[in-house]
Amino acid sequence: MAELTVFPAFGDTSLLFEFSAGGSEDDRSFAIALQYRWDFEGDGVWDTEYSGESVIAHRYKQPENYTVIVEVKDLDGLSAIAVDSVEVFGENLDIDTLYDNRDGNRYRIVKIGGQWWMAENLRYGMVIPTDREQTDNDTVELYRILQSERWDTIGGIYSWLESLNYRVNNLKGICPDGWHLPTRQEWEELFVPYPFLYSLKYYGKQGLSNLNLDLNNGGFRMDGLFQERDWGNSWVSGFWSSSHKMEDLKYLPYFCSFYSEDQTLAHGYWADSGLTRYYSVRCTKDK
Amino acid sequence: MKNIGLFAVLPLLIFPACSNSLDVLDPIDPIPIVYCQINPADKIFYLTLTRTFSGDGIAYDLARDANQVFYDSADIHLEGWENQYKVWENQFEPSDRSKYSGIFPETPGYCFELSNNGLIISTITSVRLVINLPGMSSPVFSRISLMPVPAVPSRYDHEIALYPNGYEFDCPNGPYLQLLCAFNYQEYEGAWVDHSVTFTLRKDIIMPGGNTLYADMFFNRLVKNIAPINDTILRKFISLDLICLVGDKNFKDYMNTYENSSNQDLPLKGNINNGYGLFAMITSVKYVNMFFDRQSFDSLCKGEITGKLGFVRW
Repeated sequence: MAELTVFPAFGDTSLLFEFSAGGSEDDRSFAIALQYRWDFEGDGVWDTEYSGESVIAHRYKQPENYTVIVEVKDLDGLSAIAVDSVEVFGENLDIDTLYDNRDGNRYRIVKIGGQWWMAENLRYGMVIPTDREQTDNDTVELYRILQSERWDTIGGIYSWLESLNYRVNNLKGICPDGWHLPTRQEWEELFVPYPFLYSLKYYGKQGLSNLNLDLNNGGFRMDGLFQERDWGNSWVSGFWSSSHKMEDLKYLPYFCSFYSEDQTLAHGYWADSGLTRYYSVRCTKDK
Repeated sequence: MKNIGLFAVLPLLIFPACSNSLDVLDPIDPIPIVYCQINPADKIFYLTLTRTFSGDGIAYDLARDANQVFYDSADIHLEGWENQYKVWENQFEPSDRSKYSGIFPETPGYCFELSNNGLIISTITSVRLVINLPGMSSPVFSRISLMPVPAVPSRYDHEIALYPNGYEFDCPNGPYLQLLCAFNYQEYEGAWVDHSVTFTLRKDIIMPGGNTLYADMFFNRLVKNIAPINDTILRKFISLDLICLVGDKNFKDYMNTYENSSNQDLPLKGNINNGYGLFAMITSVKYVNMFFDRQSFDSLCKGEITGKLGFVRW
């Protein structure tokens, strides 16, 4: 009986994928006598000759969903096949740094689908105490959830109005010059190439090819209460869009939120909220 | 006789090209040999990389030729994985600080080293070693699960009472357990001079969690590891450390093969894909600055087993 396991089951083209048929068994031969040959692309062409290598690794050059096949042969020449699959997506090599000349902060930025995004949460503005409200004044105000060394990655949390600098139709908001608060449509375009829209599976722990949507960076304020990433048994993070809807003459802004029950597989959703919530801000470059 | 002779010659006529000679000097691709033990509590990880060699010459001479034994360059990465996600990666660099002497002083083994900057603080579940070598189309690799780092016992009695029933202490659970003792003492050589000897008390402890140090076992091990003494030298016991060394299954398999191989040329069981060697995880728990209680100390100084070691009461 042939058995095949893959590790990891998904990843980008920089990764080394590992395949093991070491669990294969045969009632006629000892495991050590078994021979293996491999087809990494599932195209019917064996990529290796028969050998005793039950564990093998392969690096894919092109993003694609691949079928992996191993054929195991015993001493009598009887063979069996096992099949598994890996999902390979492209490595994002477009990484740069954005210098915010307003305060000297630097942000890692990545280009995804032709669009530049900040890969760190915005931390522009003046930190105010958590018992003081963000208000429409001459200063951009933000809350720091943690007073820890993770400030650089967590950044500030802002109200929706603060993130737009209190001008609802001004997409630039509090973003650096040449950048703006993404619309809901821009957020969704970001995720188009990835079939399971908000699954962390495709973002990885570092987040969508370095977009860094890691839930470690989560945190928000809701109904006057500050929450770090841990919310009950789940982890939560949220990012503002500049989009909103109106109900009863009230603004209901959209935010993109991610949550995870077990910190391994996260799901995202769109929600609208009132104006009393505070989330992170990512900016995207003007086209 | 004629028929017999014909049958004897016949195979030579039918298979004139057959040869039973084997050219042992046929070129063989070198096989990497990797040794690396990861202890997440360490600040630096070390790795040794050599290779098998073959060629036209005497093995003794070839083994002293650095070009035969080492690779000119190597790209060595350690990856940290949280389940299916690679969350940490770092690269080994050649180490200037450490060389192991190897068998021949002409070819000291160069180590590679990597600073541990985050392996222990994250939620990593497994680590993978990936080595790309010149001339090899496939990387050398090995992946192991990360064992939890055992807690250092924060509260323990520093006094060892070997009598009447032995001294009980805790070792963490693990596939491979080895109990070591670092015995610190002084010898009088015109002045009191510090000495220390480290030796194994027990190997492959079968019942992890509870361990007992028996007086006869301990003192017999001590006698075997401290040089005999003449009547003019005095010794003072200073302290001892008990060290529980915990190894993963790979380490256990390797050690079992090693210890049972005796003088046979058995290949050591390793877990390096596309190579030989061992990639394993070890951790340790130390009970430091231990002292004997009165009865155990009297036995060290005047007992039947260790009485001739020259330890004095002080």
